[in-house]
Amino acid sequence: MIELRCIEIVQDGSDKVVSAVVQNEFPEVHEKNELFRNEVVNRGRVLTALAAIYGIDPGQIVWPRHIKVKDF
Amino acid sequence: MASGLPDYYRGFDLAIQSLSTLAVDVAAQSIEQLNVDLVAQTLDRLDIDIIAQTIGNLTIDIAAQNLSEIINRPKYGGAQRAASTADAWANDTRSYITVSGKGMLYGGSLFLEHTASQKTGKPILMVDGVSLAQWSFEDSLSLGMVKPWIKAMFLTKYDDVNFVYCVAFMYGITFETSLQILYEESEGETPNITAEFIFAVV
Repeated sequence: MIELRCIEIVQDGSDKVVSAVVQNEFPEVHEKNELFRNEVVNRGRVLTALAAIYGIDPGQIVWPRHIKVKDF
Repeated sequence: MASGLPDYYRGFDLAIQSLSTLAVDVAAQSIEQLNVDLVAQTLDRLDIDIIAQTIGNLTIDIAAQNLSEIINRPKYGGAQRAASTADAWANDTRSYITVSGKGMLYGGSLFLEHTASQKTGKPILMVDGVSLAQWSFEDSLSLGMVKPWIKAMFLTKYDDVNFVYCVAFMYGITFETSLQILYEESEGETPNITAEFIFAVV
């Protein structure tokens, strides 16, 4: 089960880097993945990128309610 | 096999300590029944199904102090680090790191070294969309905000001769939705900013 833990948006020089920390196994294995650079951040893009990384359907990724996409 | 039972089914009796019956099915990864008698400490029955990740029946006698020690602590996820390096925008505010999630801040910093003064520059710490700290390097120095636990952000370096400045963020701030570092430039310069968060998310 892949469960989202946080989304990080970091300014790296002129690049806006978007990463996601997910919990990959029960109980506690956290993995950080770089998703994309210099793109608008929204829920759909995050889910699509994570699904591609883990080879699963986006619907299989758990998105906790408290995580809101906060772009800048 | 002297008793006629398989070796794995016989009882052990080591003076006052005995392991009476131990049936282990390694292929199914299960322990059917485990009776352990270590003097006054008894673990009566323990059914563990590792595949289903359940404990079926666990009898603990607390009155007999079968648990010698219980460790109770808040549970957070593994430590994470987010770091950023980018030029500031002259006379403008720029965001360097945003974390959307829930967790606790272990610490962090914002550092810059430039060729001209940045004493009026303001590092900004936003937690859950609220600005917890927003003071210029100059104000932090003049107001004595240079030690941890006074404010959410404290000055650790102020050198207005070589133009080196640094602030750090307080340990232990919890956040429910977001964490963000920004820098407000007000000297008309574009210094290179290095910012960092160390945190855990649940």
